[in-house]
Amino acid sequence: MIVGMRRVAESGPQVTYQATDLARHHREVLDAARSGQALLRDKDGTALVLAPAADVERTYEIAELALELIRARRAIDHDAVPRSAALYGDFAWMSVLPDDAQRRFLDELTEGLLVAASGTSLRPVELLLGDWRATAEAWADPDTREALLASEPALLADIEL
Amino acid sequence: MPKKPASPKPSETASRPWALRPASASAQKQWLKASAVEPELMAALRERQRLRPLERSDNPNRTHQLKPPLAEKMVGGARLPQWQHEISGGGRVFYCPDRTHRTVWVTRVDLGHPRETD
Repeated sequence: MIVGMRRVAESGPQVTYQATDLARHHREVLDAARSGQALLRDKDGTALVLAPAADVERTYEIAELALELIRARRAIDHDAVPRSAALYGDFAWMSVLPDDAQRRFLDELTEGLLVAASGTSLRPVELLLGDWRATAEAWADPDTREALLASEPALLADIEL
Repeated sequence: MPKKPASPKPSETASRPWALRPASASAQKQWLKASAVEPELMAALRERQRLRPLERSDNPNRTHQLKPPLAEKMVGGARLPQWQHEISGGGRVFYCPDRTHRTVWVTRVDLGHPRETD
């Protein structure tokens, strides 16, 4: 939770609640948590963060994708072709793509994650992943690949399906 | 002096269905074969492709714009973007939307059913 904790530190002046505030001022604590994060200090001094689950999930998702991105980038930069799909971790599906397409995917994902990490929606990243995964699936099938790469003269312009 | 035909208003253009055409004889054959095997599925797909081929919000994980090296395809001399719609677990339809002519060129239909010889 390095990213999340950095956000706590950078989010400006904030009230630190005590464990007893959960009972005495629960509404205030919950409102603080709902609007971002509430920092709680337990009796032994341990700092705890109360935050909307969606924000925490989002942070984890970005962190996990960033890790997979690093793993895949490392495979491309350090391992000779042909590379084992296992080197790509969760992005094993991308191993079927040509090398330049793999690099382009990682560049686009890097951009997408940087934008998402600044606080925008993760939706563009999800779409990006779906688009690239579909491309890899089509590329991996020789018949589909051949059909999609072929030029079509469109001689059937008068036929409606 | 004859009157010039009025240009369609943007709202009319937006609601006008797209023309759905096969980009090749083999794409036409695949479409017809798929329609015989899965008539309801293909009818729903036809409706979708005529009304909202570029829509990704109805089922965002099923419609994809392909990336290089499959991002574009030459159809009738025009370089068009290549899209894919997942019609079922293994079924895929590939198409090239031509925004200028509001035409969806179907380039490949694959129901993903195992071959009879498999």
